[in-house]
Order: sequence, then C-alpha cells, then structure tokens
Amino acid sequence: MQLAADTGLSAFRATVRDFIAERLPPDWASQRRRSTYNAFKPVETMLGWTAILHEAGWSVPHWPVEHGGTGWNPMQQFVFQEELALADAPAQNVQGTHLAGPIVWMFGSDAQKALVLPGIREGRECWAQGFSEPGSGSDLASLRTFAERRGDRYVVNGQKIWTSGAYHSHWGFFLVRTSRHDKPQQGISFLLVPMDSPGMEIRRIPQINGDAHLCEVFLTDVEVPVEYLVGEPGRGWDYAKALLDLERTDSAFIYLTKREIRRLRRMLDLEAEDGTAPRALAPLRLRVARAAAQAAALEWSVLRVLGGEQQPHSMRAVASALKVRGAELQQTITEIQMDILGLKALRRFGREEIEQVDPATDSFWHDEVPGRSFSAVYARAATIYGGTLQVQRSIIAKSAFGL
Amino acid sequence: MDLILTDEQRLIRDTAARFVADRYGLDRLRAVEAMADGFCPEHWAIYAELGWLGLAVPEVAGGLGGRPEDLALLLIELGRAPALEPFVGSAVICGSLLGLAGSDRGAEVLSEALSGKTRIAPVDGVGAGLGGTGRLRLRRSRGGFCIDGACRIVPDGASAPILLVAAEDDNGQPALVFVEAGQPRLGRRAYRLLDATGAADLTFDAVEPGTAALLAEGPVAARALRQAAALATLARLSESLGSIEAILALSAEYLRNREQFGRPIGKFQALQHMAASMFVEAQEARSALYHALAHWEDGEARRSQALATAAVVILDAARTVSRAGIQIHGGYGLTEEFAVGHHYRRQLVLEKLLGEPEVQLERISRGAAATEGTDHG
Repeated sequence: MQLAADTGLSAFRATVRDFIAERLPPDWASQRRRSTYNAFKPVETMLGWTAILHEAGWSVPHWPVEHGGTGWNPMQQFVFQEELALADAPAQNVQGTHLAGPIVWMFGSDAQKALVLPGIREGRECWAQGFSEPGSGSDLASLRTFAERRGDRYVVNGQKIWTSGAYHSHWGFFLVRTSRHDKPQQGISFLLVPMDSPGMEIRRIPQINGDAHLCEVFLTDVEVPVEYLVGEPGRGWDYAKALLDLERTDSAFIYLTKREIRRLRRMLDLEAEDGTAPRALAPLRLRVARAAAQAAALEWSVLRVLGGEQQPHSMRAVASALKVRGAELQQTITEIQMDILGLKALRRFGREEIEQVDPATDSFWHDEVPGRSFSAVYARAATIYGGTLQVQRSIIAKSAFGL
Repeated sequence: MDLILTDEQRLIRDTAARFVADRYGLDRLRAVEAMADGFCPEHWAIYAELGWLGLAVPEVAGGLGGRPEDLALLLIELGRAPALEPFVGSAVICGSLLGLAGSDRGAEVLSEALSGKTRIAPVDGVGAGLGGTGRLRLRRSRGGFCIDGACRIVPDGASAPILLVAAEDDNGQPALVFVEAGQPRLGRRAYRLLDATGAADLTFDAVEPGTAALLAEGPVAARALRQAAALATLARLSESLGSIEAILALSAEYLRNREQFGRPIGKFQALQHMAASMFVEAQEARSALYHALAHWEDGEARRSQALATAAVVILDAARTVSRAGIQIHGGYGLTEEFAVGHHYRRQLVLEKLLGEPEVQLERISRGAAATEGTDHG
C-alpha cells in the first residue's frame, strides 16, 4: 500500500486541461457555472459537448475500446471527469453514455450496437430512462407497464414517471413487463423505444426549482419492433443490476462535489470582499471546512473502489455508502451556499435572469449568486432518486451485516 | 497509488491482528486496565520483539524506517483492541524524535528503548501538539541547563523511566532534553485517564539534567517536533479508526444475537438504519486516513492540512459510532463487561489528545487559503 499520487498523472491532467481550455465554449461554461447543481441540462450543450469530445475520441472513455472507449486506467478516468467538472463543462447525457450505452454493449445484439452506440458516442442522440412508475417508486419491481408480444412487435401500455429529459430525447430505455410471474423481479425486460413512436405522450412536470426537466410518459398501444428488446426477455432486472455494479462510484457525485467545494471557498471570498452587506462569516467558514473534509474523504472512498481495494464488506454495501454520503453532501454543500449568501439567496433566478447578472456593474449580485438557491432546493432529490436514503440504509444493513 | 498491501505490510497487519486476538480479549483488556498505570510489561516485550518499537525510527538510527502506511496499518490493528500500552508516546513520538535529532546519549537511550529495556514519555512544554499541556522554560546555568515550569496530563508521565522534554530556551526556540525520572526537584502527580492509562502532572523546579542530556535545539529540534507531531496524529487517528471498525463489528454481532420481542433486535429497521449510518461513517473514516497518507510527502503545510482534514472526519465518525455502539448494546454498553464501553472511553481519550473536531476545523479554515488546489498529480 502506497497512497501518494502517481507522478505520470500530472502530464495526463495537463493534456485534458489544455483540450478543455481550447475547446469548451466560454458561454457554455458560464451557463453551467450559474445553473442548478445537477439539474440544468439543455440538450444542445449536452449533445454539443459530447460531439466536441468525440472529435478527440473522448466522448465515452469508460466504454470498451472496440466501442469507442479510450482504454484509460481508472485513475485517468477519474482525472478526466474531475477536470471536466472543475472547468464547468456541460453535463453529458448520462442516460445515454452511462446507462443505455453500457446496457447495449453488455447485453445487446450486434444490430442494436450498430443502431444505438454511434448516436450516443457522437452526440447525435439523446436518451431517457423509463424505470419508475406512479405506483412503483422504491418498490420498482412492482412496475406494471406491459409489453405484449404481437408477431414481430411489442405493444406497450402503461405509464412512467421521473423520466428526465423525455421531452427532448430521441430514445428511451424502458423497463417493461413482458410476462407475469409470481416473483415480481421476473418477467421484466429491457426495451429500447424511439420517443417519437405513435402513442407516446410526454408531460413535463413543473418542479420546485423552477425547472421542468422531469417528465411523465404515457404509453398507449406503442408499437416497438421485437428486435429492440435487449438480451433475453425476462432478464431486464438482472441487466439493471449489472449496470449498477458497473457504475457503482457514479452515485457519489464526487466530481461535481469537488467543484462545489471550490465554489464555497470562492463564495466566502466574494462575500468577505462585498462591503455592501457585511456579515459574520466565521461560523460559515467552519461549516465549509467540515464539508470540504467530508468531500476529501468521499473522494478516497471513490478511489478505493476504482483502485480495486480488497474490502472486507460486500461491494453493494460499499456502493450504497458512497451513495448515502454523496447525496447527503450535495444537500449539505448547497445549503451552506445559500447560507453564505444570506438574504441574497432569496432572489428567484429564472433562466433569463441568470444571464442578466453582471458583477462588473454591481458586485452585490456577484457571479456566484444565480443558481445557488435552486440548486439547494433541487438537491433534496439527491436522497430520493436512484434508491432513497432509507432504501440504501436497508441495503447496507442487509449486505454488510446480514441483518 | 497502490492499494494492495506489500508482503511486509501484510505481515505487520496480520501479526498485529493475531497479537490483539490472543492478548486483548475482554478479560485481558480488563486485566491490563487493572495493572499499574494501565501498562503491561509482558506486552511491551512483545512489541519490542516484533520490531514495532522501531517502526517509526529511521533505518540509519537503528529502526525499521517504516512508511507512514506501515505505521497506520499497525495502529489500526492495535486500535481494535483497544491496546493501552503507551506506544504512540514512546515508540512513535520519542522514537521519531530520537531518530531525527542525534546525540551520543540519544543513541544510547534509543537503543535501550528499541529493545524494550526502557520507555520514554514525551513532555511537551512548547505546545508542539504531542499531547499534554503546559509551558516549560530552559535556562542555561553554570552547571549546564535548568528547566522550570509545569506540564500537565502527560500520558505515561507517571511511570516512564525517561522523559524527553521539549522546553523553550532563552531565544524562544525549542530544545529537546532528557530528564531521568528520579531527578531532584521534578514533581510528579500520577493519576489515571478515562481509559485507565496512566498520566501525570509534572512540575519542574530548577531541574538540572546535565549537559549530556541536551538532544537538540533550535531549528533542528523544531523540525523534529513537527515531524513527531504529524506522526503522532497519524498514529492516533489510525488507532481511532481501528476502534471505530471494532465497535462496528461488535455492534453488528450484538444486533444479530440479542433477542427482544421474540426476534434478533437487528430485524428492527430503526436499528438497521443506525448500523448502516455507522457503516457509512466507518467507510469515510478509513478513506479520510488514506487522504492524509496520500499527502504525506506534499510538504509540511499540505500535510498538516490533510491530517486536520482526516481528523475531522475520523473524530466525527468516532463520536457517532462509539455513541451508537453503546445505544445498540443498551444497558450492557455501560458495563465493563462489554468491550464497547472500553472503546467509548478510549475514543474520548484519543479525541482529547488529538484535539476535538472543532479544533481541527479551525486548523483547516486557517490553512485553506494557503494550500488551495486539487490533486492526484
């Protein structure tokens, strides 16, 4: 065991940093900086940025090389993601790059790989995830959307909810029931569905952060070719679990969290400099210090998994712990950001107002005011999506201690 | 970065784990607590025999010159007991001080200490962060030196045969001086700490140790003290982590075995979630220690920031986990007959010796601006 950083990484980091500096459009970075922590994802910048990365061969570094991956080792992958976040690069469409893509290259047919992977890799097609249903949230396995086989098609009926970005997506990957069994996890299949299929109705859900990114999707007699079913019918639940194993460190959100820790320090400085509203910042500095310490630890929790450490506990418990601390930390950090702003946090910033702030003419409304409050508001979702805090704790109790 | 243990590291860890398993069952732990000064001479001989007393001492000075990772691995295992011997004071702090600051008398004492024949207690009279509190001044006199002042709550200060005293000289510089336990005008008031280990208030009333006793002074002494303090922090944080992980294991076992309402109490979701929170804390505590180790060679400023960062996370975890451990054990957690309560008291001692999370936060906050930056290279 030797925990100091490898010296070779510095050169790699510099290469990545130079590329970003050269190719990232400044207005995209500024838009990202002033937007909500993890919610504001316009399709133009998501796909546009993926297309730019694709030119360097870097749009899906974590994929196998034969599908367009880079073959980087885990530490290089880490540094790459970290640099993207620190530079305020736009979010990618993770439903495509991290979910649909891997599912297809792990379990899909050659025809599906040819159909789906280039569009994701090249930033041409946007994907949405159709898992949750109104009656199936934490109890996902109780989902009822049904795909009935009729000849060479599936006819799908049902309703999905919390489908992020459904309204601007080209494709969706849906968990649907293709047969009825005693055990709810059986009989679920993984289906790729063009979002413009007849019978799809999408309703955007207005959110408390002023956005409407989450959607309801109603499927009424939607016809999908049978060759769009991934792998074997009835194995969808297993595939979804395999996906979780593949991406177990993502839920820590460590890259964004490191960026937000930096922002906290910048915000303290800006508020200390702003003479118009002098405030006692000392208690806030201590809260920032604690959050920064927790983030530094979380980073090593991620590195321990990426570095393949032999841990005495099951990896499911380890992954859930990452998710728990990662989610709590997002909430903690965004709350401190609001508290640093004090009264300034009260101002509501819609999309247009965000762009109107000009610190050069009025330092009171500095660069780090817009977006912070709605980030904190939206961060409440962090302990809900992808398995609630309580579901994660139950997983830990079971898989770490056999309780 | 490499997370795989080397053969040597595996040996250290496994040997230490065996020592704890063989020598630190609850009965033995209570037996050690009952010994004079919470100290077991038989154990100390084993420490010497296994080479642990030289782990923090550079090879050139006759030690093993272990990496900080090696030291951490050993202390994690000892923390699981929790072992009560004054290892950090004598072997880590004094071992490293003697390895860095040389003198003839120093080499002699070090060799006796490495063989386990003697034991040294550090007496921090300059606020170097070694544990204990007080101010000591060193004046030059005709006969050599003369030490005045008081230092309180000195771990192992009651029974260590040799004291390694850090005192401030006339120029405001630290000096390191040996003081034999039996010196005239050295007052010792001995007592026990919460975990049953020994400590003492020491008073120096013109104590004259003789010229040969001077080990180092000025910048050499200052640098050695900073290094020793960093190692001591690392060692105590590692002990705390080992204890955290032990409490977790004890609590999980109790949850599986203790029955109420006709089933194991671990079937109740409130307790399951408590255990899950303890697990998250323990995971993060270990990661925090790795963070500190990763920055060990990045310069003193970065290293102390990383240590304070690790300390916040580990001490927060220690508070949460040790309290929850007692809660899970119910009334039994408050008895001497369950190990969880021993861990709780040990954690309190470690926390006070290290400085509470609030103290660590102040350190981070003050140093943040100076060491801003990401980085794994």
